[in-house]
Amino acid sequence: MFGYIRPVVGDLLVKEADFYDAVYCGLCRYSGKHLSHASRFLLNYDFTFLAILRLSLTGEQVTVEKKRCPYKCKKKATVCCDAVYSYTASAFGLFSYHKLLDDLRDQKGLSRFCKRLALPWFAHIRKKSLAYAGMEQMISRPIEELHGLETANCDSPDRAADCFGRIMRGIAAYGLDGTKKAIAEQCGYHIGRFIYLIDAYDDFEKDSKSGNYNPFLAKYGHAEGVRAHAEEIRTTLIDSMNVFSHSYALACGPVLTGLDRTVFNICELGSRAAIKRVEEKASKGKETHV
Amino acid sequence: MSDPYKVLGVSSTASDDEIKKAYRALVKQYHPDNYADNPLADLAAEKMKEINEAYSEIQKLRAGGSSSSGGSAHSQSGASGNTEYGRVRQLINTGRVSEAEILLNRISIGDRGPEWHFLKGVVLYRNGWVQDARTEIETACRMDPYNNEYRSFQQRMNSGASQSPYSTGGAYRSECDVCDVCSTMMCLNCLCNGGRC
Repeated sequence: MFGYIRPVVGDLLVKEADFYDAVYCGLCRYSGKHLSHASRFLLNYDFTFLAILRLSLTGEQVTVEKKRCPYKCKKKATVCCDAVYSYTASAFGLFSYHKLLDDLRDQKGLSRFCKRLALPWFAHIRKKSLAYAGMEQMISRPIEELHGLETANCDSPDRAADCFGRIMRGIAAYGLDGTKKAIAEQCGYHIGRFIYLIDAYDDFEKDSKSGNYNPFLAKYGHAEGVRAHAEEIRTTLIDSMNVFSHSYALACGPVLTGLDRTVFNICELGSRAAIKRVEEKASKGKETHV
Repeated sequence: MSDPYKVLGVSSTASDDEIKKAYRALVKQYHPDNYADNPLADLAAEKMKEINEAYSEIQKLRAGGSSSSGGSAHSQSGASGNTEYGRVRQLINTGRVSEAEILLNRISIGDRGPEWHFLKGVVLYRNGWVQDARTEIETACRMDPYNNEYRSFQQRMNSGASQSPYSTGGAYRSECDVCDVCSTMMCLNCLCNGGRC
């Protein structure tokens, strides 16, 4: 369900794009070392974005070093900021584990069988991610609630996305206080809402065939109804990112830093690019349907 | 108070025009209208106050006077004939959104006029339920098309990221002004056929 939150690299300065890659590299390296090697293959853009958001809000001092990447067989620039990585990797480990448990409840067939086989790995990752008190409940409770809403075929996308929004709000704001916390809460909530809704929009064709829960299918009745409300869905996705950028602007100084520009690039340009990708896929689906 | 020049993002040697330009860009960015009904409205108001204070501080310093703090606060008013709705507005303004929602839900369906839908929309927006909020605000506008408060809320929702410092360039100032001047001169030179026209 991930991979929607990424930058439009062509619109970043070269040093900003390099820094983004170096954060991704650092997070991958950290999770490989402290969680499990398997977790390196599961890492995604969304948690890299959370790391960048946290780095920007906490203002942690970082160093950039050249380190050898075992998978690329060459030295790569890596951003070193252990406090942010430790936190993001733990959130990622716990989230992956609870998401897998949720999938095991919902899915059937080969997919369920494969995930069942992977469960011990994820349990190992979870065990290594328990360093932060209260974080596990913060993630597992809304996932439970979401499961209840899915079973009841909740027809409000806002209500369903609220659970996911609360997870991301908790992750983004954990350990912060005062103004930074208020800003992180808003940013986290709307990133979570956006991810959940765009994923639902991306999957509505598949879900209408398989009969799985999808908030847009529940609201508009059928796939044709979802297509007819494309404009409304697009508006609500953009609304969330607008609230995000308004909120994040409060954390910025009078002159934007490279990190600020990366965050804005991802939430403004990157989110619109993701919407466009999903819309193109939906219109292709429509053509094949006709 | 922190260095007023730092607050505006200008150097202490900047000209009056540069300071005014930076001040205007920041005011445009953090104007309370952009944050009305946003849960972080009070933070935006604080930031605005800080910017106003820094600007008046600089003006006083440059006029040779001593420093003292001042600032402007934005007040938000909403006309409401109904006392119940007045209480809901008060709760929303003080950040007690869930209590406001309980109060709104108590009002029977038959008595729910345009103001009810508007306030419900504001509560939903504050909770992050943006899609349902839009539906409620649109209902309020349909029921009372001449109400400025409802219309301006709708417009604010539509204005979106147009106020963002990233997309407008806003307070962001390029670090490479000299290069910009050079590249502009080169372009002009090309337009004039390399100076042979």
